[in-house]
Amino acid sequence: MAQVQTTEKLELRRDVSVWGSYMWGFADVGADTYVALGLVMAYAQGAASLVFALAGIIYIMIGLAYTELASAYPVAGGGPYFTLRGLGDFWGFVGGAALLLDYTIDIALFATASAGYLNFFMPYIIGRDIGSFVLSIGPFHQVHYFWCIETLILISILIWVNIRGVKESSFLNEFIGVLVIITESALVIMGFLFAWKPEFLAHQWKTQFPTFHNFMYGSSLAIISFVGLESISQAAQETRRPATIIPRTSLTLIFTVFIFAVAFSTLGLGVLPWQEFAKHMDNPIAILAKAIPLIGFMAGPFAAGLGALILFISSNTGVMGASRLTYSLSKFGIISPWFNAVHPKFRTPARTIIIFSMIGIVETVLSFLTPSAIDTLGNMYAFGATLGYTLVFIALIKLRFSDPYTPRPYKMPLNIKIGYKGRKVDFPLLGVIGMLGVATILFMVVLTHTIGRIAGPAWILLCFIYYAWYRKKEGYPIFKSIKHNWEKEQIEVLTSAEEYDLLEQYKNALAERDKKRVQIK
Amino acid sequence: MRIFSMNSPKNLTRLDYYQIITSILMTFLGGIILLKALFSGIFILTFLVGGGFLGLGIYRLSFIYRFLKGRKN
Repeated sequence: MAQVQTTEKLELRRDVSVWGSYMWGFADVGADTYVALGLVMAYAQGAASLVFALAGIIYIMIGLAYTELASAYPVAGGGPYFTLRGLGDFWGFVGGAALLLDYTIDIALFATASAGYLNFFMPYIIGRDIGSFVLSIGPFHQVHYFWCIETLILISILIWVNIRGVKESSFLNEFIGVLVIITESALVIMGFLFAWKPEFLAHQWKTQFPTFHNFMYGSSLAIISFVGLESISQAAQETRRPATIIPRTSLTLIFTVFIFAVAFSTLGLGVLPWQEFAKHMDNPIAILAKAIPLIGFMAGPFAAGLGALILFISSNTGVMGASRLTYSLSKFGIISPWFNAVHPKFRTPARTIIIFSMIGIVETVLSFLTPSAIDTLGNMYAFGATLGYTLVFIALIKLRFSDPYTPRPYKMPLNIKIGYKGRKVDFPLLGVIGMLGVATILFMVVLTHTIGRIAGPAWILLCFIYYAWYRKKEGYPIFKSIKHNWEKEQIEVLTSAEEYDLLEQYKNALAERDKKRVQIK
Repeated sequence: MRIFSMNSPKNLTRLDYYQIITSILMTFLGGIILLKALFSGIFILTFLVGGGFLGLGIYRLSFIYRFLKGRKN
C-alpha cells in the first residue's frame, strides 16, 4: 500500500453540542439567502418563489444525502471524501476541485455581499450612494472600484485573522445565529402580517413571468441559497456521538433554510416589485426589511448590519473550509501534504490560507470588471456546487452496493430492496431522483451561465494538470486509485467518534462477510 | 422525521424548545397567510404557501402533543 505522509497530524476536538452543531450549519447555509434573494429575483422575476421552491426541493434531497453520508462517515472531508470512498481517487479529486472552487468563490462572493450590506449605510453616512463610485478602465465600464476596495479589505482581514489563528468562539457563533433567526423570523411574521399583499404577488406572477431562459438561469442561481452543506460533515467530525446528533440537527437545518428561502421570496414579491430587489442586488434583505411598516425604519439598518456580519462570517468558512479540505485531500494522496505546512509561530495552515484567499482576491477583482460582480461570482459558485453535489449522489448510490457493512444511522427515505451479489441492498430511489434533479441544474448552469461554463471547467482542468503532475511525481496512478484501507479507516473514525454501538455493528458485519467468504471457498 | 431527542425524553434540549416555538409560529403564520389569501381572491401560489406553513406547523405540533402526552403517561 502506498504510504501517504502529512506534515502534521491535526486532531479536531469533538465537543460540539446539538444546538452548536445546528448553529454551525445555520451560520453557513443561512447566510446564502442574503445574497441569493436579489440575484434570483433579477432573473426569475415574478416566478421567484416558484424557482426557490423548486431549487429547495432538490436541496432537501441533497441535504438528506449529506445527512446519510455524514452520519455514516463522520469526517470533515465532506463531499470529496464520500466521492473518494464511493468512486475512487480520480472522482474524489474532481469533487475536491469543485469544492475548492466553491470555497474560493465563497471567500469572494460573501465578502462582496458583506461589503454590499455595509454600503446600505453609505447614503446616511456620506450622503452618496455606492452607485456613484464608478469609473471606466479601458474596455471595462461602470467598475465599482470603491465596493471592490471594501471587499479586498474584508478579505485581507480574514487572511490576517486566520493566519494569526484567532478562532471564532462557538458562543459568538451561536449568539449571532440566534440573532439572525430571531431577526429573520420577525421580518417574515411582521412582513406577512402588515405588508404582504397576496394580490400584488399574483399580479407579478401573471404579468412578470420570466422567459424560459431567465427561468432556467434563475433556477440554477437559486441553488446558491442552499450551498454550505459541507458544514454538516465538518460538524460531524467535531461532534461526540455524531450518529445520534447529526441526523437530527441536519434535518432541522435543511428545513429551516428551505422555509426561510421560500418565505422571503414569497414575502418579497408580495411587498415590492421584483425590480427593486434586482436594483439592490447588494442588500436585498435590508430593502425588504425597510419596506415593512411600523418596524421598517429600524429593521432596515438592523438587517443590513446583521447581514454584513453573517456574510463576513460565511466568507470566513471559505478560508477555513479550504484548509480542512486540503488536509483531507492530502491525507489520501490527492494533493501534496506541502499545503498543510503550519506557520512556525502561529501554528496555522498559513500556505493554504494565503493561496486560496489570493485566488479569492483574483476572482473578486476580475468579477468587478464584469457588469455585475455578484452575478458573475454566483454564476461560478453554482457550477462548483452542482458538480460536487452530482458526484455525492452517485457516490451515495455506489456506496450502498460497495459498502453495505458500514452502519447507516440515517438512510434517505424511499428505498427498494434489490438483490446484489447474493445479498439484499436498499436501492435509494430518492437518491436517483435527487441526482437527476441536481444534474439537470448542472446542465442548466452549463447551458445558461456564460462565465460559469467556461471558468468552471477551466478551473477543474487547471487542477487536473496539478493532480496529474503530483500523482506522476509520487508514482501514484492518475485515473486509478491508491489502495486505501477503508475498513481500518472506518474503525478509527467510529472509535474517535465514540460510536461504540456502531463500531460493534460494523465489526460484526465484517466478520459475517468474512465467514461467508470462507464458506464459499 | 424525529423532532425530539429520543435518548433523553424527559429533558427538552434547546433545539426542542426552538422547534416548539417555530412550530407554533408556523401554524400562526400559515393561518394568517391563508386568511389574507382568502380575502384577496383565489391564487394557487398563496394558498400553497399558506397551506404549507399551516400543514407543516400542525404536523410538527402533533409530534409535540404526542411527546408531551407520552411524558405525562
